[in-house]
This record gives sequence, structure tokens and C-alpha cells, in this order.
Amino acid sequence: MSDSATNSLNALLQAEPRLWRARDARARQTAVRPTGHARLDTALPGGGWPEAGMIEVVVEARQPPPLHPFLPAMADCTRAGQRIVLVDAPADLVPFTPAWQQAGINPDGLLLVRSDDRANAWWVIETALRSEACGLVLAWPCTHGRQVDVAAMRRWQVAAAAGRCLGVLFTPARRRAHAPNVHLRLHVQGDRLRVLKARGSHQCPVVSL
Amino acid sequence: MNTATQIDWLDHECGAVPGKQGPEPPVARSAARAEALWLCLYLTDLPLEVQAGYEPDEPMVVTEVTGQRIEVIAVSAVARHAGIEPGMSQAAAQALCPEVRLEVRDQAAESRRLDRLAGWASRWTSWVSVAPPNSLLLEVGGSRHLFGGLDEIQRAVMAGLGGHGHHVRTAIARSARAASWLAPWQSGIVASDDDRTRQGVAALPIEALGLPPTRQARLRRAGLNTLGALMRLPRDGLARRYGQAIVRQLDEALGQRPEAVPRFAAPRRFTAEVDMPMPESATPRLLAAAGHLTDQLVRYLRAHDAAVDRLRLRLFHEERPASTLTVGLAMAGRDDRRFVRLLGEHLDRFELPAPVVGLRLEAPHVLPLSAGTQDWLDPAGADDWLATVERWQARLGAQAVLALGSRADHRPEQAWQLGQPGQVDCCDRPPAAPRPVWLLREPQALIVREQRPTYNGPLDTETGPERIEQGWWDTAGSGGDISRDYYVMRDRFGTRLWVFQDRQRLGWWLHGYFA
Repeated sequence: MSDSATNSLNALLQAEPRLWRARDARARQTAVRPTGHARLDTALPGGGWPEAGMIEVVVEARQPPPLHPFLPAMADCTRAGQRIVLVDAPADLVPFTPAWQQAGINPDGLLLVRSDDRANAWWVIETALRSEACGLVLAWPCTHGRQVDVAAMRRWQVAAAAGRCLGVLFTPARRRAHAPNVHLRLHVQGDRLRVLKARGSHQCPVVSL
Repeated sequence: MNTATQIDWLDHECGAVPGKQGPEPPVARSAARAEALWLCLYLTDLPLEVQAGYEPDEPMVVTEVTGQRIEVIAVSAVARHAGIEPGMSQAAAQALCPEVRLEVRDQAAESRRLDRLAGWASRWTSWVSVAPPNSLLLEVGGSRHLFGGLDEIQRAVMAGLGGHGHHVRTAIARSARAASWLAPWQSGIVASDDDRTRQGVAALPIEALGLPPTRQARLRRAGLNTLGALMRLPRDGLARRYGQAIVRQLDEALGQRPEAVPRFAAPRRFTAEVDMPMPESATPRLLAAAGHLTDQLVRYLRAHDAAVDRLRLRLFHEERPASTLTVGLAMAGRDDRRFVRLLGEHLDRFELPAPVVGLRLEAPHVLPLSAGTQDWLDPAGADDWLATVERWQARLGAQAVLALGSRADHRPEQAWQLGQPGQVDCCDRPPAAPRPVWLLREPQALIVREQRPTYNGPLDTETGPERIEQGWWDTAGSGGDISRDYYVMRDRFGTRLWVFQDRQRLGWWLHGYFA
């Protein structure tokens, strides 16, 4: 590319805010919150979890829901006086309060909600995201079957933006959401975290926590 | 008889026991008692009067099952003429007067009626006390001048109770106990000073104490027919022979010992009604009307520094029984927007059987706004959060929303708890040893190969063992008396597991994930 072309391109990029370079992650900078894991922070676009948005975590069968990537963010949340809601967490597992306290999470700020059907579950997720008092929503949206679709993800994203809330969806690998509009999609196995998709980035880094 | 320690209750009564001055009674008269005067209202026929369709001029008795027999406890005047007395058996009453109407005692109705009358009597004094089963006590010493003297109060109260259809006996005395003793026996007595109270009590028969029949008979056999005779006895001998309670009661009646008279507090509740201009079934319009009612409720609660934990909305229909919506609040409060939002949530899900012509909002429990009503929520964003939680509870049921707690117990099964928000406790100091984020509700047996546990293949030990051994006192259920060695292990995918070897039952178990 000639110098003059580069110059005119640069001029255009600077003059027109609706144009950006795809490889430049900061071009679509959104507010982030630190993950509490230094290596993960550098790997994620923007340098942390989105301040408000949706993350999908794909969970393999016979694997517990991987919470450890989110524990520091949860601790920050309750320290700031914000609430954390768990919607339809696996029934055979108990959130073991002493361990959560060890991680710095104040159990007073935690609430478990169990829904009876899919519609109510998704409604609870949306209202929790929209509530300004709530900082983090951890949800298992596929408990009552049915994959998450684009429309549901869109509703939750709008709600999360309105409530300045981060939503984390745990979906089994065979029921991965058909929702390309998610902020982040992660796959966690043991201490190995793979970014499957990140808005504002083409890279799919693998991080060891 | 030891006369040296005798206290003479009758030192003012002429010639009773001359020349024997005992030491002062145990409690000095307080200044507060200086002006106290108690009016007792003894409702003689209350068990009859609360019966539906009671007519004073019809023969009627109220019965109660006592032990093996059905006993008559209240008799109308006409039935009394026929010879029926309280204490007779039901069969005897029917034999004496075949056309007598028999009713079973309704104690709940009696106590409701007493409470209602207590509320009514509050116009005469600020201190009304309910004395079950059938008396009210009014402190009139403070208000006597306001209402034109004791006789005037007594007359007005009698007239008022007569208007309510009650037959009543009254007595005024210096103590509540003396007044309640005097009323059944000396109706209309006004013993407005200590002397006259003492004289009135002394003249009462021994039955006025309301003792069990056997003890009453014992006193009678000893020649003690009046309270005056009792009062002439030395205190310690009386206490020894007939019990300390009699001495205490006499002291209270004669104002020589302070008595505890509970104050009646009217139960606080709120109701408000609104009529719809025309029959209506659209939720938004019903909600708008309900909004007027919650507005009134909030103003009432502000004025009384109170909150409510439950709302009841009655929906009236034409020619149909009213529908009722009961709305529980996650935490007592008085926020108007919250009430309306909750009512809306419930109305949305309620199928109206017919159009609504009127609404009534009731708050059955009005609570003082204090600790426990706003606890687990801090003020910032609390309303919004509370409203959200209540909407979940409204739609999913109260059991669907749970809070997490912890206990200071080393046994994993006992260290956590789930409960209603605001009702779980948290122990502030978690154990120092590693604990898994997820605990399995039931430990899962692991397959052992070559004496090593496996899960997705062989496991690598990371840390351990940590011995948890405790709870010999607690034998009920699992996780009571345990003896285990816990290890942190890693499976081939890198997932960290909490695994224990049971020292009692042997074998390896998976108990949690560190994920």
C-alpha cells in the first residue's frame, strides 16, 4: 500500500468514529472489571471481564461447573455491596459456604433461585440482570432443556447493560448456545481456560490459571 | 402460734387483734400507687352472651367437657329458675328442664369479645387490662375527675355494657386484685381508699380466692370462712399451711405488694376500601384503584412508625363471594411502589371469576418498624432489590429463593445451610484448610484400583490427608459421627477433587469439587 493511501486511510480512521481496525482490540473498548487472574486479564480483550455483558462457559459432561475463574470477581462484587444470584445451580451440588468465604465472598450477598420451568428461569435471569443491586448472575439456563438462542441472548444483553451486571451462563457442551452475539465464550478444563470467542478480538488464547 | 412475727392486716379494723403491731409489710407503697383505683367489670354471663342467638329470657346453659363428664358452666336466669346450677352435669340439667337449650362453650369467642370490650373501655382510661376468663380491669384513679367522679364512670360503663347486651357486676378498689375479688360478691362497691378496700376484702367469703374445691374445703374445715379470718392468721403459719401464693395474693389485694397488671394493647390492623365506578376486570384499572389503597396504607404506616409483612386484597364481585389475594412480603416494609408492583404481579396471575365492583386492602399484621424488618438489606438499591426478590417469590414460591449460611462445624455436612433470606446465620471464620466450592449432597463412592481411588482415571494426590473426626455426640443421620481422611486430588483433566477415605466404613468417596 502506498504511503499516500495509508495516510488517507489513517485520516479517515481518525475522522470517522464508526470505522475501526478489527485487530485493534481497544478500538471497541468497553468497560471491564479485573478477573483477578493476571494472565487472564492480559488475554481478554479490554483486560478483564466485561463490566456489563454476557459470558458463556461451555461445560463438559461429568465436569463440575468451573467457578474458579469467577471467584475473584464474585469477591469484588460482594465487597462492593452488590448481590450475586445463582439461578438453577445443579441440584446435586451444594455451594459450600466455607469455601466461598475462603475466597472472600460474603455469603450475605448471595441468593439461590430455583425455577420450575424454562420460561420462569429465563425470566429470573433477565430480572436479576436488570436489577441494579445485582452485580453478577451465574445461571444454568439449560436445566429445563432447550438451548439459548439469539433472541434470549439479546434480551439478556440489554438487561445486563441496563443493570450494569455481568451474566455468566453455564451450558453443557451438547447444548451450546446458538447465540453468536455473546460477549465471551469460554471452555474451562481444570486450570486450562480456552477463549472460544471474544467480542472485539480474533484471537482464541489458552490461559493456564 | 408465733405471734412475734405476725403482721396484722387488720390493724385499722376496730378491735380485730388489738395491741399487736407487726413489722412493716415487705414492699413500701410506691408513689405510682398513691392514686390508683381499679374498676373491675365482671361479665357474669359471658359464655352465654357470646353464643349466637342468645335471648336472656330463654332457658339456656353452656356446657364444657371436664374430664369424663359434660358440666354446666353458665346458666341463663330462666334456666336458673328451673333449678339448674353451674357445676351440674348436662344430663341433670336436661332432666330439670327438658326444653333447655344446650350450647358448647366457645372460649375463642369469649376471648375475642373481651378484647373487643377492652378496646371499647379504652375510652375511659389509658390502662385497661383483660383478666380472663370474664373480667376487665380499668384503672380509673387517673381519669375519675375527667369524667365527673367514680359514680359517674361506673354508671356510664354499666350503661354502655348493658347497651352491648352484657350483664355485668362491678367493683372499685385500691388494687386490681381486690377489685376482681370484690366484683362477683359485692357488686357496686366503691372502696376508694385503703381502709374501705381492706374492710371489703375482709368481708369476702373464702370462695372469692378461686381456690380448687379441695383446698377451699380445707380452709372451711379450719373455720376460715372469710378472708378476714385468713388475714388475722400469722403470715408465716398461713404460708406454711396453705401456700405462699395465698399470702402473696392477700398482700397484692391490700396494696402491700406491687401487682403486675398487664396493659391491653389493641391489635393494630389496617383496612381500606374503594368502590369501582363500574364492574371492572382489567388488571391496570384494578391496580390503579389498589394504588389508592396502598397510598392510604403507607400514610397509615408512616404515622404509626410501622411496617407490614403481609397484604390481603379482597376483590368483591356482584352476586358472588369475594376473591382474596394474599401477598407475602420478603421483608416487612412500607414502600408504596413495592406494594403496587407486588399486587400487580399477583393480579396478573390471578384468574378473576367475575368483574370486580370493589376492592378492600387489609394488613392483618402491623409491625413496629424496627430491627428485623429491614435487616439483611442495606439502604442503597435495597428497594429495587427487594422488589425483584419478591417478584421471584411471588411467581416461584417462597421456597424457590434461598440464602446461604454457614456454621462453625468441622464436619462438612454440618458446615453449610440453606434457608429463607434473612433467616440463615453465617459463621465469620471459615476453616483454614482447603475446602471445595461445590460439595456433593451425598458423597459418591469411588472405584478403587490397586488400592488407589479413581475418577476419570487414576487420581494424583495434591495435598492431604486432613483428618476430620468429630461428632460422636451426634448420631442422627449422615455426617453426624464421622472419621475421615480428606485429600485434594487431581483427575486427568486437571479438575481438583475433594476426596476422603472413610476410616469407619473404609472405601474412598468423592465429596466435592474445587472448580
